[in-house]
Amino acid sequence: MQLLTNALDFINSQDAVDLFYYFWFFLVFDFSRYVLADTFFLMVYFFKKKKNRPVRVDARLRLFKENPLISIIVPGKNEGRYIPELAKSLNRQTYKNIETIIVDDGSDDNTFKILRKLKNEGKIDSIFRNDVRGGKASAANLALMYSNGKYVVHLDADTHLKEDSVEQIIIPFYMDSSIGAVGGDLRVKNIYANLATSLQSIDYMKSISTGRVVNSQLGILRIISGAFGAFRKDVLDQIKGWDVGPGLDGDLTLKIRKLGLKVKHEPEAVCYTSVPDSFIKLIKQRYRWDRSLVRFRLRKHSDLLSFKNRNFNIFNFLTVVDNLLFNMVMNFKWWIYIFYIIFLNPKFIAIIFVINYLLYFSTNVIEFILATKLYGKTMRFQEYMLIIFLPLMPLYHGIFLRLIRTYAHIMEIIHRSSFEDKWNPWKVSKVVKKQRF
Amino acid sequence: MNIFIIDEKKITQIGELSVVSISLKEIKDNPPLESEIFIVNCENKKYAKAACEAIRRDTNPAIYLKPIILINSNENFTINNIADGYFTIEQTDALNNSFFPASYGSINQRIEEIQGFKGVKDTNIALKVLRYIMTRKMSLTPFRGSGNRFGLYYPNIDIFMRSKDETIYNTLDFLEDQNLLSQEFYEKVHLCIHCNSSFLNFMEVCPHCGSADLEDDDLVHHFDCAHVAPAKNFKQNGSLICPKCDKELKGLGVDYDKPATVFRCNSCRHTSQNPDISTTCFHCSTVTEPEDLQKRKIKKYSITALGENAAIHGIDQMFIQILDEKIKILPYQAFKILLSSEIERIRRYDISKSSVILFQITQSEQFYAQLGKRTRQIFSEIGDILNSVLRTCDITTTINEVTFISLLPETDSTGADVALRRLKEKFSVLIESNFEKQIEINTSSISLNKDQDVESVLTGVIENATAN
Ligand SMILES: [Zn+2]
Ligand SMILES: [Zn+2]
Ligand SMILES: [Zn+2]
Repeated sequence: MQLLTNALDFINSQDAVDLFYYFWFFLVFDFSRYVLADTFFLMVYFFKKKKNRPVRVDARLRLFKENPLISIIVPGKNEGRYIPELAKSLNRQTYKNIETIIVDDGSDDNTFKILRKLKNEGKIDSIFRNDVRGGKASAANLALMYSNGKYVVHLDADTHLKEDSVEQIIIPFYMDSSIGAVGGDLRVKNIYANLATSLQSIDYMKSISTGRVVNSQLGILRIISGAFGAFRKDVLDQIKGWDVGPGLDGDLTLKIRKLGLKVKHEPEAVCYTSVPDSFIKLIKQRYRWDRSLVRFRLRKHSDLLSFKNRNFNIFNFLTVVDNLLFNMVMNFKWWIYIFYIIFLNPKFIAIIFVINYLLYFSTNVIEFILATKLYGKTMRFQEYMLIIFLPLMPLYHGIFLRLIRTYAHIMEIIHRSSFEDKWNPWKVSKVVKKQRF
Repeated sequence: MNIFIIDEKKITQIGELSVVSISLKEIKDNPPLESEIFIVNCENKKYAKAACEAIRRDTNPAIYLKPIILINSNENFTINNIADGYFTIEQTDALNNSFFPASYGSINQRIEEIQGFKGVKDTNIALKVLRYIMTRKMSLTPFRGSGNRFGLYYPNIDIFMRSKDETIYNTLDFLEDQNLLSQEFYEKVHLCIHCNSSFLNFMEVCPHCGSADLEDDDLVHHFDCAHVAPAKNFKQNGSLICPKCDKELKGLGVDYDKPATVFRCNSCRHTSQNPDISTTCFHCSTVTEPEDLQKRKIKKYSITALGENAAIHGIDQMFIQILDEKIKILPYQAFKILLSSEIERIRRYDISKSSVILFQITQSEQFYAQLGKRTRQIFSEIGDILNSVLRTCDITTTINEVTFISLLPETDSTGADVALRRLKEKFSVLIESNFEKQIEINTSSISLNKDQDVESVLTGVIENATAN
């Protein structure tokens, strides 16, 4: 309380310009980008959604009338235990004309036995097995090789779908023929496993669901998640499938954009996925994700930033800039901000910290409310209950994740260490590291 | 030394060895019991095979157990497997007199150990098998060969049987169940569900349409670009060029590998990695999935101590011990003495009527084949039946484990028939509840009168035995 009173006194005692000096980071980046922009673009989304209802109904009718085959491809290693639940959710789909292709990428457990059993029971259609692990990209490419569908839906093994998710993720293709890929909305399956999964659940609601809807509106969606993403088969064939990871999902998305096709996020296509259930696993996952940013945006797809590029497209440019800005640059700016505050006025650190905390907390509340609105009918009771964890979010988001990100960026730039990641088998990393980018 | 040779040329001398020549017909009609070794000349293979069969299918242990030696054979002659020894044409020329007793004397010694066989016929295949193994001190090992539907067979005991059905396997199972033989796993065979043949064609077939017209190809994974496709998609003029990134592949394990094999169906174009397997029987063309095939363990057998005992004294002794717990079974010789004194009593006083009845289980091979582990229980129940129908003053013996003869004093032919009918009724119930295939019962009865003697009574009762 005392601190809060002090904080108010502090604010009152400063003029607007000084306040900006103290809180420029929040005002410039987070507030404008996440509160103002998100609110505005979500409103636009809701408005458009309402307006597009008839178009959507018509698209759905045309989808069911044409009834194209849809290939569901699921690569994975040692994930056999998840497949029965996934297969069950696929067999319950409202859209029936699907084929399920599962790739066992060199599992050394009973995965293949489980797959064989499911296949014999007719619950999945095809299984392929690599005796030696080839990595996620090659497993997905193997499945793609034998996909017969007009559309290919890539799923992670540890997910399951809502019963109408396949139709929901395909409908956008029938609303706009220039769409090349559609991302599904990821929801957390193990929300209450522990604190780590609960905090990630909120994060998923805000940044993944809301963030992707907004980016999708802006035409700057930069990633179709491999956990649940749908692609036109002809497009995948044209770009010849996935390239070596990490970050292969974002990489593929950018390749599709380079063809001049749109990528969309579809919040109504719901996919439940497991998130890392310990902070250690979470750190490892985030570390991997954050490194891949530098690698693909800055090195492999630097042509998107070049105005001299013949295929230059302002949206692709913005996609990369947004991503770089709000991840990499902002991250380094944040450190500058910290040093700036310490240097500028060390005696106010506690007060500034509290005020920042309150600002970020309110941001989180606003974002949570927006997410709730976005989820609409698909919002579950357990997701409402996440509200009790909101006070922890500024620390989780502002400090915990930021530390990981900073470390990852530094490591990637200095060491190119992502090539040695366990993500790829050593045989692949070794070859890829020798390549130029 | 009595060495008989069966051939067409009437040889009397092989090298330094003097032999007695005998024809195939003589072997069948009047086999020489004194023979210690049978030599079979293989110059005519058909004739030689028939000679071996004639010897081994005889029912007299003095004949069927005797060593058979082939001369003028060759390495690949299938009959070699059933003989106790064989000599190729070159070896035959070098034979001498001292060779045979040293190698084959021990078999004759063991044949001698089989007590009281003189004049007794071994019609029981189980006993023949047991005695054969016992006299050879061998373990019965299956041979591989296409002459038998299982692909694995026991030539030296198969020859006991004319028919090539499963009797011999059931007999071995029976002997194992009775602990007369011990088994050791040899091999497992898959058999056609329809005809039990093991000659099956295993084919990879398309899981989609069932066609066997599949083509297999290795998948190639290019590490650089994560492209995965069948090897044929990569091939261009001898070197592998990646169709995704157009790079030439350097080497297996360097920048690519082959993680799996795929099968493409030429009928329906379906590709899979795990084709189904289907089996087609070469005999009867039945198509089956491998998991539905019959499986049979083929075993290697050795004789047990109990088996040695049964080989020497006869298998019937074992069953009689079980029966003995329920009803007193007299030894055959003792029964004959009592029968002769009863005949004498009737002859002297001529005031009462007595009868002799016979009760016999037919199809004894079927009976044994189906007995299995229930032998003790079933023989115990047979004992109960005999005990409940016969009176304590009646005396019973057996001439083998499936033929019972009883003397019913002070019983006329009507009384004897009543006893037989009751035995039959009770036995039918036992058969119906324990056996799948029909087992029939032969009976006969004879009334004693003063003009008979023991032998004529026994011969009469045995010869009159019919199903009615
Ligand atoms: Zn058959
Ligand atoms: Zn086919
Ligand atoms: Zn390549």
